[in-house]
Amino acid sequence: MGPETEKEMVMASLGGDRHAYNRLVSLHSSGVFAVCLGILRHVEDAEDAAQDAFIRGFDRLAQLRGKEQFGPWIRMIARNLCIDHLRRENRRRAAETEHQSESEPDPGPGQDHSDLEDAVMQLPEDLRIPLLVYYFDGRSSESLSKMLNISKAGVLTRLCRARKELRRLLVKKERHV
Amino acid sequence: MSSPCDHIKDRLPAMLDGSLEPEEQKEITRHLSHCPSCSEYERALRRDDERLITLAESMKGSVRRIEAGVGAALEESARPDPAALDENTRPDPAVLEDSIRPTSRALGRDVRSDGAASGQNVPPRPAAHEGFWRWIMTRRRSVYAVAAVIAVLVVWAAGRLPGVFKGTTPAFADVAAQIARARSVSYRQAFQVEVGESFTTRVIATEPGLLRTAMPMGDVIIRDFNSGKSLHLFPAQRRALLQRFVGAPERKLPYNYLDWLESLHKEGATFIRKDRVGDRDVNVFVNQRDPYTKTTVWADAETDLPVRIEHVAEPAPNKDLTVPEISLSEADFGGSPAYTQSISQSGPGIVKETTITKDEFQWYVAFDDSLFRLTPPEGYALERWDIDTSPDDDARLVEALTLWTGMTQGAFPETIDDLCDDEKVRPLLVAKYNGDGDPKDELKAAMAAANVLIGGLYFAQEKKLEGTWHYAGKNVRVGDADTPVCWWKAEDSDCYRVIYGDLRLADITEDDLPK
Repeated sequence: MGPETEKEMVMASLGGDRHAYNRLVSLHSSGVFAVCLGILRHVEDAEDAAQDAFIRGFDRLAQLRGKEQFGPWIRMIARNLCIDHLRRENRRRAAETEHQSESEPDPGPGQDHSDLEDAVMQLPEDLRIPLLVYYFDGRSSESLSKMLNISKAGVLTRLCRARKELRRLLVKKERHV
Repeated sequence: MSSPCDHIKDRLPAMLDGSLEPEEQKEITRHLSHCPSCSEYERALRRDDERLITLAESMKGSVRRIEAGVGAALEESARPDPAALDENTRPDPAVLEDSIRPTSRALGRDVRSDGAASGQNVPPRPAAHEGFWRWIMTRRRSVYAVAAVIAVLVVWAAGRLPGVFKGTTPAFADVAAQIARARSVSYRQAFQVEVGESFTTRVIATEPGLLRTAMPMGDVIIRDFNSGKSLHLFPAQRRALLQRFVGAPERKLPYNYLDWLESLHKEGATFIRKDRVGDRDVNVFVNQRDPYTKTTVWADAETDLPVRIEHVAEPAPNKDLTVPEISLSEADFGGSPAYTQSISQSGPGIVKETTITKDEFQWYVAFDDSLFRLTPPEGYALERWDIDTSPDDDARLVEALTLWTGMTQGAFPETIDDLCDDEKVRPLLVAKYNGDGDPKDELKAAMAAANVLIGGLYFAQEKKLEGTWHYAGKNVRVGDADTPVCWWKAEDSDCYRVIYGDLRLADITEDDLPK
């Protein structure tokens, strides 16, 4: 019988059990991807960053302390990677062109962004990330409460604000079409 | 002014979450039945919700690709061989146990190190009047006030010092960069003041310029460094005190603990050694802000985020400098004995020996905005108080002596320390301000006067520290124009400043100094 709890999975992973680590990845991949997407606002970059975060997490797993801390820890690693990525991208854009606008994220080739995605990506980060995590990670107020380290009531307040602002942005877009 | 429809639309997202009370839900449903605008808004919110669910579903492919990519990468990499793990990487089951506080979250770690850093590149003492703020606290015990001032001192500490940062690897700039990214933190903070009492608070800080401290007695202090305001909540009494700090010089220093931490590298945070705590590598940095104040930072070598910080403030040796501090109770004016206020001020060398240790750091925590609001909860009685925080200069000393002699029928204090001697000043302030009015108002007025006395004494202590202070006010009475009461060397000048018995301030040369 394999490890059942996250703590057991961490212990098993440290012992070299890659399957146990893959299970940890499965448990947290949606949430980590949502965080990366919330910061980078680009699907492919977010996939790469999330993948890198988990690989880095495996290399550094020995530094993790405390049971059931893998989720917040891996999200912190993901966040750091995303911020590093943004800085590199900003430097690259500044070096390559003087004219490219930095006000909107570059959608990249072949990306079809709906109005909803555009509006979500325009939300301020403190609303965007919780909203994405909520919808990507099983719509659980409880897990979002743990992630944000606020009460469930606080989570609902944050989501309310996010939805209201999203509606406002969508209405604004409709009026400009 | 918002309309009923604005209120309904505000509450609709909560209704979709199912988090409304039944009564409110009924009220909103009734409204929707006859309001086309709100009804359409509700339908639009539901559509948004469905579309977000669909969007998340459409991204499942991304999640599967992530999982597959990680799996493939792990297959390709060398499997860590348990037999090959050395002391540094083999997991210690005891370490992996939940050894941190049960309520600790995320990155809370308890780190201990017995490193004793040697100060390097000690900068000259900063110029006077630079950035020392006074803190007015409401406490039952004065040690909290002193320690709280120390904490404020850490934030508002003396100005730019020409420390030299030897840019070796590791560099504190890397730690500062991580702090800059995080922009929010919570930590445990333990105060040890002299040999004796200690207490612990929990602090959360976030940009922009917001700090919240949970005190051990149950009260809470919320500080907004941008607006210069502070809200002190007393849940047991359901009282709140909103303080506004006015008269401060234009800030040239960091205004938030996070900014202060980041700026250490500019002031000269020197890497002194590597260390190991448990199974982790840490880099240890030291900032010797002045001869009396030292900060040590233990930063995780992998993440570059602080895991422990220690501030040590020591009094200037052989100077016997009194730390200005005055405490008064509302009971002194016929009010509640449970409500005490203290003012104290500290600065480099003018401080009780204090060690502040911060640990159990959690970074990147998303705090709810409500934690930093400067409005008290419903049902709290709110008092407002403007606090004069203009620099303590010679004019402040004249003001303090004027106030004192006004309370003593013209007698100057026997020693300048009397200005804040509890046994002497407290009865004077009570006699002056105790009347038939509201005890709260009388206490406020008395504390404003105490603020002046604190400032005057602090100025004198600075001059003592410089070694130029002289006091000869014993047995002198107001009006004696030719008798010098006190004198000190003026800043950036060869002259001396004197306060005479008629409270006149004048400049004299060294040759004219009283013998």
